[in-house]
Amino acid sequence: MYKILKAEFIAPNVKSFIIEAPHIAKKRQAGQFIILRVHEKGERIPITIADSSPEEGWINIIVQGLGKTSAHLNTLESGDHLQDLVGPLGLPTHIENWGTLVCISGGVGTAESLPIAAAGKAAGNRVISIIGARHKDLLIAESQMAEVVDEVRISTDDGSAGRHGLVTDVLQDLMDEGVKPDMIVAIGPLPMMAAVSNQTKAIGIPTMVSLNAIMVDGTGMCGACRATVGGKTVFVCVEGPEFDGHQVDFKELGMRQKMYKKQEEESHKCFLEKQMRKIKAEQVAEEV
Amino acid sequence: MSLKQQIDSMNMNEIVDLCIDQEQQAIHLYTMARDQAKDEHAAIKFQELVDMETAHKVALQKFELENYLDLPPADLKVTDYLMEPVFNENLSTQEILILAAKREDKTAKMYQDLANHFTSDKKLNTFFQMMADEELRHKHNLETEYEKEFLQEG
Amino acid sequence: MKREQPQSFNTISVKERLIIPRQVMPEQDPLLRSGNFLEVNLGLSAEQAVIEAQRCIECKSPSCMDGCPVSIKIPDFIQLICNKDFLGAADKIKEDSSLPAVCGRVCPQETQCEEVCVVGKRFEPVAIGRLERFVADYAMLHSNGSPVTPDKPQPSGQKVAIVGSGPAGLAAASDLIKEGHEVTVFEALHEFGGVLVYGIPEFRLPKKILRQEVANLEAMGVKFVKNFIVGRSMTIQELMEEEGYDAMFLGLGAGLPRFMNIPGENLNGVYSANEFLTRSNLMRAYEFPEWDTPLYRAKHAIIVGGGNTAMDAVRTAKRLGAEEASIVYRRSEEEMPARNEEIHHAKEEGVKFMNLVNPIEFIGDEQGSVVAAKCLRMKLGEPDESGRRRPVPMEGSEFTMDIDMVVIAVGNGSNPLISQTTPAIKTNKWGNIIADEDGRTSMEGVFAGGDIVSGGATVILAMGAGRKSAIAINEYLKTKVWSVV
Repeated sequence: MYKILKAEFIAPNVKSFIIEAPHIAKKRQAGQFIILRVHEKGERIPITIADSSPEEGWINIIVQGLGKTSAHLNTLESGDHLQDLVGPLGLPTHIENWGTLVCISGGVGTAESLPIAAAGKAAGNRVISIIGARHKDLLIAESQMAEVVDEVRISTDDGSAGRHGLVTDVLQDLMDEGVKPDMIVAIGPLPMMAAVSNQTKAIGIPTMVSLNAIMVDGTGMCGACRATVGGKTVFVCVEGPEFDGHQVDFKELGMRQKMYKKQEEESHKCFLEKQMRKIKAEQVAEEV
Repeated sequence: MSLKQQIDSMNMNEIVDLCIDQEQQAIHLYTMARDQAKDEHAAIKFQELVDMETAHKVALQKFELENYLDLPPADLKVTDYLMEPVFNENLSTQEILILAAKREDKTAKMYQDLANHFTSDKKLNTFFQMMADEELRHKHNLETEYEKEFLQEG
Repeated sequence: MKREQPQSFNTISVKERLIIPRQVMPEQDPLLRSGNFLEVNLGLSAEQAVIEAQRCIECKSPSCMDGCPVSIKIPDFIQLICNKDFLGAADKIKEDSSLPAVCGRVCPQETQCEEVCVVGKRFEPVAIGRLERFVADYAMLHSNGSPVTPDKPQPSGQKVAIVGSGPAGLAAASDLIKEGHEVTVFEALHEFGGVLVYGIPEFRLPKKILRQEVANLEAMGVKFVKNFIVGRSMTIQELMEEEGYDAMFLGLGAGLPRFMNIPGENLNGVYSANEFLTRSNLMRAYEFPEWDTPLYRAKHAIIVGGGNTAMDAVRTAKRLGAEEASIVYRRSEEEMPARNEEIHHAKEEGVKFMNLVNPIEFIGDEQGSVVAAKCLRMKLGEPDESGRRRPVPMEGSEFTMDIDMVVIAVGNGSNPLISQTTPAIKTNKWGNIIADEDGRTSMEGVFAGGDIVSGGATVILAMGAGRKSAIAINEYLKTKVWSVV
């Protein structure tokens, strides 16, 4: 069992966990992920490591409650335990001094791109961060990002903060202002990564994306996480998670991510019903 | 000018030279692949292919074609329906075998087409038939290896 | 092989013994079992076991032991069964095999011990596998969950790490703990057993049996660490230098599943056998949504391949509710590598066999889910090196069938993790670790065995490799002499 040292919501439905995991904390590099199980009947889900402390022996993950497992995870508090935790998995991000590095992120991807932005900065790059969200309340980690990069730009779909528009609009603004990105790292929802890759392919800026595929074991044994990159099938867990965005077949990956949509909804519903019963039972018990 | 028209105007020596050139192109491709391969075992596989094509080229140069008179083995068509791998420096042995077998198949079809075209010219017909058969033999060897290594459970 | 004759408890004549028919093991009814995940074979009764044991004619030079990759003293344990000393028989097997309840179930006895059984030359061979299973189960049941542990040996002061808790690793751990070494088994997944837990279905090998075998090893002093990926969590070098391991055995098992390289393999509903079986076995997807992991429940499933894995997958698909679950195999049934028993069981459960058929493309709908398979019919040509006749496509035989799930069971490639993280360990062109007969790799103190060395093989062969390495590891720990591979 793996102890949760700290758990707090950092945005609606988005929770940050500090988990005791000295081995993982010691080895982990930017871009790597873990696989966890919440309880003994739980599924295995991959989550990118946002931060870690080798000295204190913890790792940090940011979880958005979307499906059953993430919703369940987000009910856990500090002092609770995870059933299983394994990592670090995947290849670390390749970092070098490219010149100007633009880190584009959306949703919990911002927390995940934080270590890459920091490593990029440490390698001598000028680092610009573009953060996108639907609404200002959904922005996360922008202040931490501001501490490690040269400049942060924000866009929201509804204009509630930063530029009214998408991250691709901000990237265009940047270039219109004369910024010449040498490297782009895009991490976030699949449509965002696809849009950025599409935009940068046309103008020839190398773009790296971090793919979030469905996984089971995470060591290459099962092949659930396969994606097509450059016309070739890759296993995201051992060959990734980062790939050349210009080569990724986003359409296929998008369909693969929805493979269990129906079952996930069923499972999520079951879980919510159970939660409701629990809450109701507590209320009734109190009244009695 | 189509290949067939070109050949029409050539003498036998020139035609053999043309075929030698074809082999040379294959040698060149596999040599390049060998040098680019990141995995040492992939490099070894490419070297085997270079050796195979070189042997064929040398035989053509010496005009030692009597070895090629045997009928070719059955076409196993093991790789015919497989997807052609995109050429890159990270090819696996499995992909190299598919790539090479498909190449041999294409070359065999080209020679067979020429043999069929020159049915009236006995000498040309026999020559191209022998060339086609030899390419099929290469394909057969590659597919046999593929089957042995990758299709034992299936 | 020269050996001491065991004391005979069999008082009936050879002729009488030969008259006894081979005892039939009770099975769950096919109709019933194709709808549940409970074990198919129910095991011999004690009476049946004694009768079956009496069929052994106690040959002067028995060949059965030579047929066993770990040389279990078969005639000895059979005589103990004749005398109804079932616990004694179990102990006898345990001298050579650490997983008798597992091997009694999954070993291909018909091509090993039973194939060379002298009785089998004229009659049906003695059911050695069923007897092994019987005594192992009996011992488990009658030790009340507390395993019988031999006296703890003198500590050697040496530490051995075993990577992977599959059959090779468990066998090596069992032998090494008996020598007094400190033994730790590292497992990447959240349960121990490797392929025995993620690959072999519950209906063939109940998980509780495996857990009991692991508990036995734990009681003997083996330490088990789960969720630990050697190469990522810690490298081999770090384990040896920082954690002070004196020797290491790598029993990582097979690696990346192979696909066919035909169009449409990345469609939803197309699985590798590894993924399909892992979801069902390890993750218990057949109990979804009680258990969280989802899995397609197909109406028309096809499983491509003809090995035991294909049989496990097709029988699982049937149990998950498929109206039609078919094996699609490019050769004929005669060439199938699967055990006869598995093929037979599958047929009884209503599995359809489409032999001499090879898929060439999978077709998907707009959501990217597989809806059809394009196939070719094959005919058999000349034999290949393995002696099996080679399938060749028939001209113009292409046809399409409607399906909603595909499981590809055409074998596994190698695991890239060790070669990625430990270049000192040499691999061959297929990515398997290069090791000598005793499992010595190119890195001092590191041994390897099982599928990671030999490619796909059986549980008992992997166990054999684990035991061989255990002997060599002992030798190495005593002498610290390393012969270079």
